[in-house]
Amino acid sequence: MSEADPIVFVVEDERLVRAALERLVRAAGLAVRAFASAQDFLRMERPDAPGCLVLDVRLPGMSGMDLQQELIRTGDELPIVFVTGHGDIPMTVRAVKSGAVEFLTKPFSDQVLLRAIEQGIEKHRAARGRQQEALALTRLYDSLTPREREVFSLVTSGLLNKQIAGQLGTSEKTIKVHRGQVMHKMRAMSFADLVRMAEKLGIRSSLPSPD
Amino acid sequence: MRSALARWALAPALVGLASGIDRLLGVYDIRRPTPEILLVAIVVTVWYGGAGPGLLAATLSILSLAYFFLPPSDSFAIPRPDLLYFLSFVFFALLTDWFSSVRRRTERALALARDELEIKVAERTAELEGRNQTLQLEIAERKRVAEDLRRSEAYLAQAQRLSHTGSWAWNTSSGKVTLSEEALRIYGLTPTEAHSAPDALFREVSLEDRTHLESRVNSAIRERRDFEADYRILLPDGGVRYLHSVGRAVTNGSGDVAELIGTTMDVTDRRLAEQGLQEAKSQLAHVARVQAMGELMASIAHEINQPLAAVVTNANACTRLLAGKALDLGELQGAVGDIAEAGTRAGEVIARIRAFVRKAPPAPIRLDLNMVVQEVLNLTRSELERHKVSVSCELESGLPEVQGDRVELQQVVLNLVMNSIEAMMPDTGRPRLLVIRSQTDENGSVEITLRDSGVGLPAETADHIFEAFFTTKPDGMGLGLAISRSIIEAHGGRLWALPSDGRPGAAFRFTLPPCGVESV
Repeated sequence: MSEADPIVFVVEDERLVRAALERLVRAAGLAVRAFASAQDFLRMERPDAPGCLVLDVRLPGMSGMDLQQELIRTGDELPIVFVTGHGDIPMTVRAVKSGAVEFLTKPFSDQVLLRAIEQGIEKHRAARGRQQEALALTRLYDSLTPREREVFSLVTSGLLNKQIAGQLGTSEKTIKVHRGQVMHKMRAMSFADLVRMAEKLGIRSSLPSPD
Repeated sequence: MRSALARWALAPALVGLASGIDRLLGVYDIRRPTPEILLVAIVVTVWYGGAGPGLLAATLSILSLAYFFLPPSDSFAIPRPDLLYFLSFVFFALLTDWFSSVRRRTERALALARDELEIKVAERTAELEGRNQTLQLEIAERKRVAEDLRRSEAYLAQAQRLSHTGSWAWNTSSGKVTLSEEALRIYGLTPTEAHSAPDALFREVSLEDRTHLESRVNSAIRERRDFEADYRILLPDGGVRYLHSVGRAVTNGSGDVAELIGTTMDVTDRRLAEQGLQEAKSQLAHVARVQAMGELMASIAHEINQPLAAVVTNANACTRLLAGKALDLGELQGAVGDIAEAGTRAGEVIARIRAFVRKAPPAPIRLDLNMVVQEVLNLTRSELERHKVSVSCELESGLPEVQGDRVELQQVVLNLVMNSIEAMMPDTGRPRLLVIRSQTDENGSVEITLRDSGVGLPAETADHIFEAFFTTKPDGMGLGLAISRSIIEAHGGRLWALPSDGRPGAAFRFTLPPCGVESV
C-alpha cells in the first residue's frame, strides 16, 4: 500500500520567520504549507498524508495552545512541534503533556527542528497506520453475520466450543463451522491473532448472566 | 518774727530795768546815779524792737529821768539847775533813738540785700547745673545714636553677608557706583575698582546673559520702573556665580532718572542645589525607565528573538541549499534578502530600547505627541499582543506641536499603557481594549487620554495613586505615576485620572501647552 508524501504545516504569524521555516523545510526535501494564523490552518482542506505541524505559541487571535486543544478535541492526531519566542516552563509542560513532540525556543538549531519534524511525521505515520489497520479490521468485522459475531465474541473470551454450543442452543459442530468462517473472514492467521483483533476492536463477550 | 507785743513790751521793760538797776545802785550807794544807762536801754530797744518801741523807750527814759533821777525824787518836777541837763538828755535820748533807728534800718537793708544776692547766686547756679545736665544728656543721646547707627550698620553688613545680598547704587549720569561690602564681595571687586569703573555691575556678566541684563536695566531706566534679573558672572578663578538682582529707578526733581538702586543676591548655592535636584529627578526617571524596560523584558526578548530566529533559520536553509545538488538561486536570494531584513529589524528594536533607557539630561525639542504615542505603541506592540489587548487610536491629525523631551514624554505614555495592560489582566468578561485619543482642548493645549477596560480605580486608592511609593502592585516601586506627573508638570502640563462616571475601567489624561506659549 503506497502512502502519500508527508507534508509539514507551518503556522507562524511573523512573516520573516514563516518564510525562513518554509525554506528550511523545503531545503530538507519535505513538502511544506505555511499559514499566518490558526484559523487559516483550520480552514484548509487537509490532504490525506502523514505530516507534522510546526506551530508558534503566540499568534494573533487563536493561540498555538488553543489550536493544540482544538485538534485534541476533534481527535486529530497531527503531531505538533512548538516554536516560541520565549517559553516558560509551565507552558512547555502543558504543551508536552498534551502530546507535543517538541517545544523549541527561538532561535533554534535546524537539526533539532528537522529531527523533531521527522519524529512527528513518523509518529503521525504510525498513528495513521494504526488508524488504517483499525479501519480495515472494522471493515472485516462488518462482513460477519450476527451469529458469527456472537461466536467471535464468545470464542475470544475463552469459552470452549461445547460451552458456546450450549449457550447458543446449537450443536458443537455448527459452532466449529462458524468459528472457521470467522477465522477466514477476519483473515486471522491463528487463534491468538483473533484474540488481538478482538482487543483492537474492543469486543467484549456479552456473557449472559447465569441465572 | 518777734511779735509786735514783745517788741513794744521791750521798751518799758528795758527802761524799767535800767531805772531799777540805777536805783538799786543808788540805794546801796555804790555810786552816783548815772542816767546814761537809760540810753543803753533805748539803743537795745531800738535794736531789737524797732523804731516805734525805740521812740517809746526814749519817751519813757525821759519820764524816768524826770521822775526818778532828777531831784526831787519821785516827782516830775524839774529844778531849774537841772533843766539844761534834762534838755541835753532829751536831745541825746532822741539822738540815740534816731541814730540807732537809722543804723538798724541800714543794717537791715544790708542784710536784705545780702540775702537777695545769695538767692540769685543759688538760682543761677541751679540754672547752670540744669543746663549742664541737659548737655550731658544730649551728649549721651548722641553717643547712643552713634552707637545704634554703628550697630545697625554692623547688623546690616552682617545680614548682607548672611543672606549673600549686597546693595548698590548707580548714578546713571555720573556713572559712579556705590557698593556695599557684600556687593563688592559678590562682584569680586575692590572698592577702588568699583569707584573707577562705571560698568562695574556689568563687567563680569557672562556674555550669554549680558544682553538680557542690559535690556532689563535699560527698559527700567526708560520706563522709570523696577526691574529684576537673573544672570551669571564669571569669577577671576574661572568659577561662575549665579546672581539675582532687583533694582529701582530713582527720579530726581525734574523727573529724570538720577540713579538706580537695588540689591543683588548671590543665589549660586540655591541654583546648584536646584540643578542637583533636577539631576536626581532625571536619574530617578532613568531608573524608572530601566525598570519599565525590565517589565517589558519578555516582550523585548520576543521582539529580538523573532528576527534572530529568521536569520538563523534562513542561514541554515542556505547551508542546506548550498550542499544540495541543484542550486536554487531564487530560494537562496530570498533567504539572504530576508536575513538582511531581519538583522535590520533586530537592530531597530535594540536602537529603540537604547534610546529609551539612555541616560542623558532632558533635551526639549518640538514634538508631535501623536508620534510619541505611536513610538510607545511600537515599543509595546508585542506586550499588548501577548496580553491580547487591542488598541484603538483616535489621534487628531494636525495636532499643535509641543516643546518637550521625547524620551521623557514616551516614558509617561509607556507608563500609562503598561498600567492599562496591568489593569486589564484580571478577567473582567469585557474585551481588553485600550483607547488612546489625542485632541486639542479649549485652551489650545494638546490633550492625550488613555482609557482602558480594566478593573478601574477603587475610590480609596484614586487619591493616592500619584503619591511616590504608593503602589497596588506586588512588585511595583510606586514611582511610575509620581514620576510621570513630575515629568508632565516640568513640561508645564497636567496629568490626572478622569472620574469613572460609571464607565468600567480607568482613564488618565495629560495636557501639554502648545509650542510658543510660555507656561506660567
